[in-house]
Amino acid sequence: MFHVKHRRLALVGLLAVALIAVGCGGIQQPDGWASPVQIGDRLLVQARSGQLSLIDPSNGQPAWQYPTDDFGDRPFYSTPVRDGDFLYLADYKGRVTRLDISGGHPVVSWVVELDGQLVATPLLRGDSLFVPSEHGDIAVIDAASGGVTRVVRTSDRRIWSSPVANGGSLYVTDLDNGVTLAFDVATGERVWEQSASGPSAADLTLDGSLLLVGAFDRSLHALDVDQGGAEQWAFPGDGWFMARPMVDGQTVYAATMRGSVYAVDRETGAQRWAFTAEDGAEFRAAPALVDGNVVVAARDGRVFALDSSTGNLAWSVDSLADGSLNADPLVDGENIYYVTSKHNLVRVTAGSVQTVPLAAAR
Amino acid sequence: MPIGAIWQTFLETPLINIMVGLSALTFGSYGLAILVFTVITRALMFPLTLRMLHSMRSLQDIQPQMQEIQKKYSDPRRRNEEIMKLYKEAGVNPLGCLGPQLLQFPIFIALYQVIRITLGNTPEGVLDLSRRLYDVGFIQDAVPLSRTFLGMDLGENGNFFLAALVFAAMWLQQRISTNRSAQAAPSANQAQMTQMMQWMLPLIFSWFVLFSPAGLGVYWFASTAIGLILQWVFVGPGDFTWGSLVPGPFRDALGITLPEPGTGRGSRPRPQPVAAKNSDAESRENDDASSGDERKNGRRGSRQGPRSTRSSSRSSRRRRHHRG
Repeated sequence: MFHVKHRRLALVGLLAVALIAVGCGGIQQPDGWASPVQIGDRLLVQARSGQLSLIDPSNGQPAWQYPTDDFGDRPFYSTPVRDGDFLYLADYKGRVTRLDISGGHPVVSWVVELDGQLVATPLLRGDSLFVPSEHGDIAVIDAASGGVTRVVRTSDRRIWSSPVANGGSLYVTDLDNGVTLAFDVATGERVWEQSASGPSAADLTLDGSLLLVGAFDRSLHALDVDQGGAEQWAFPGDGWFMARPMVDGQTVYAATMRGSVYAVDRETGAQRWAFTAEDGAEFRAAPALVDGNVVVAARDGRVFALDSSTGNLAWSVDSLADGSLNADPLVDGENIYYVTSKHNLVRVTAGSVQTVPLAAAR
Repeated sequence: MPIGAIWQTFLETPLINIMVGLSALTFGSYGLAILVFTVITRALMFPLTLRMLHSMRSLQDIQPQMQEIQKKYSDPRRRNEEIMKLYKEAGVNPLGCLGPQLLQFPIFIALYQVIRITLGNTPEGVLDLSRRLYDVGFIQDAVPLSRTFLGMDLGENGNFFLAALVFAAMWLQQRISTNRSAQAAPSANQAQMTQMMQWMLPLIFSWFVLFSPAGLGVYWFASTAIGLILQWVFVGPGDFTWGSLVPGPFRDALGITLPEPGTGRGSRPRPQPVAAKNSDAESRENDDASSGDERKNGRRGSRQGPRSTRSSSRSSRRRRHHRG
C-alpha cells in the first residue's frame, strides 16, 4: 500500500515535471516574413533569418548575400524596396540601410538606426523614404543622404501595415488603436483620422480613392480617401483579415485567417462568392492573380487556385515545404514564388501544378 | 496524445481564451484581466488554501512532540515511524502545505506562456494567436490586447520594481508563516532551514519575475498579497508585529517592544523544554524498545499552553474512537 502510494506520487511528479518542461519550452524567436523581390532574372530572398541572398531561381545559387555577419537577431519583416540600382532594407531591430547594387555586389550607401522595431515595409515617395515603426512613428529619411528629415508621430501604437500614398497624402493604419490616418506628405500634418476601420496589421491597398483596410475586427473596410476617410462599406468575414486585399476591375479579393477567401463588389461591398478551405487553413499571405485564378497560400503550405469569377477550385497543392507561409508571394509570369518561415524558397507553377523547392542559398 | 498536445489542449489554450475573454470584459485592460484571473484562481483554491493554513497551525502545534521524538529515538527508521504516527494522530498531512503551491505552479508556468502568446513577443506570435482563439465573437474581437498597465509593459522582462514588490510580499508571507516561536525552536538545523526559506524562496521567485514578462509578476504579486490577507484573516499574524521589521538597535532606540512569543493572535506557544536528554545509548535503546504508548502518554501529559478548539476537538474525537 505504502509503495503503491509512493509510485503514484512519483508518477504524478514525473507527469508534472514533463508538463512543466513542455510549458517552459518553445519560446518563439522572430523569423521575419519579407517577401521575395525580383531583380532582373534573379530573386532577392531572406534565405536566413536576417540575411538576404540574391539567387538564381533556376539553381538556387547565390550571387551575393547581405549582411554577411551579425544578422541573427535582425530578421526582415519588411520587404526590401527597390529603386533602380538601390535597395532599401529595414530590419526588425530598427536599422535602415541603403545598398547600391549597380556594381553587381551590394555596397552600403548609408545606415540609419531608428528607435523602435520595424515590421512594416517602408514607402519610397520621391526623394523620401517613409519608415513606420512599432513605436507609432513614421521616420522620413532622405533617400540620397540617409538623414532623418522628419519624424511624424501617429500614436504610441504599433504600425505593421505598409503605408500607401496618393497625390500629396500618405495613409497608414495602426495595430492597437484601430485608427486609419492621412498625413500630408510634404509637411507631416494630419489631414484626417478614421476610427471605424478597426485594428489592422494588413498592408493597405489603394485603388483610386478607395482605401481597403483588412482588420482584426473581422471586417474588410473600404474608406473613401477623398471624403475624409468616410467608410464606403464594410464587409464582415469569418476571421481576421491579415492578407493585403487585391483589386481586379470591379472585384476585391480578400482572405481571412479562418481559411476563407471572398470576392466582393468594389462599389457596394456585396459578396460575389466565398470559398472556405477545410482543416483550419489560415491565409496570411496576399492573394495573387495568375491566369484568371485567384491563388491563395495557407499558412500550413497548401495552395489553392480559385476561378476568379466563380470561386470554384481550379487546382490545389497539398503542402509546399516545412515551415509556414506568412510572406506575400512574388508572381513572375506563370510562376509564383513563396518564402516559408524556414526560409525555403518555393516555386509553384500554376499550369502544371508542380512545386519545385529551390536550393536555399546558405 | 503527446504531452505537448495535452498541455496545449487542456491548460494553455483554455487559459489563453480565458485571459483574452477577461481582457474584453475588463474594458480591454490586460492588467485588470490578470488581476481578475488571480482573484478567481485564489477563490477556486480557497478550500485547499484553508486546509493548508490549518495544516500549518497543526504542524506548529505538534512541534514539542516532534522534538521529543527526535531526542528519544536514535534509530532513524523508528523515529520516522513515530513521527508518522504522530502526524496521523494529530490529523496532520506534512505535504498538505504544498497543495496550493503545487497547484499554482502549473498555472504559473502556463500563465508565463499565455502572457507571451497573448501579448505576442514576436510578430509571428501575434498572428499565431488567431488559431488558438475559440470561435467566439467577443474573444476574437478583443485582440490585439493592450500591453500597458499602470505604466508597465506587461510583455517586457526586467521590471525591477515588480521584482522588489514580489520579494517584499513573499518575504513578509514567509515571515508571518514561520513565527518567532518556530524560529526559536531548539533544533539548530530547523531554525537554519526556516531562516534560509524565509530568504531563499522570495529571492528565487523575484529573480524569476525579473526575467519573465511583467504580467507574470503582476499575477504573482497579487496572488501573494491575497495569500497574505487570507493568512492574516484565518490564522492571524502570529507573533509578527510591524515593529519586528525594525532592526534590533533601532528598535531599542525607538522604544519598540516586541510581545512575548506565543501571545499574538494565531501564534503558537513557545515549545516547552523537554525532559532531560538520555545520556547513554543504552537508555536510548530502552526508550526505543518501549512502545509508542509511553510517548503518547508523555505527549498528552506534557501539552501546555492554549490549543485551538479545532485541533483539541479533533484529538478528542480520535481518542473516543480509539476507546470505542
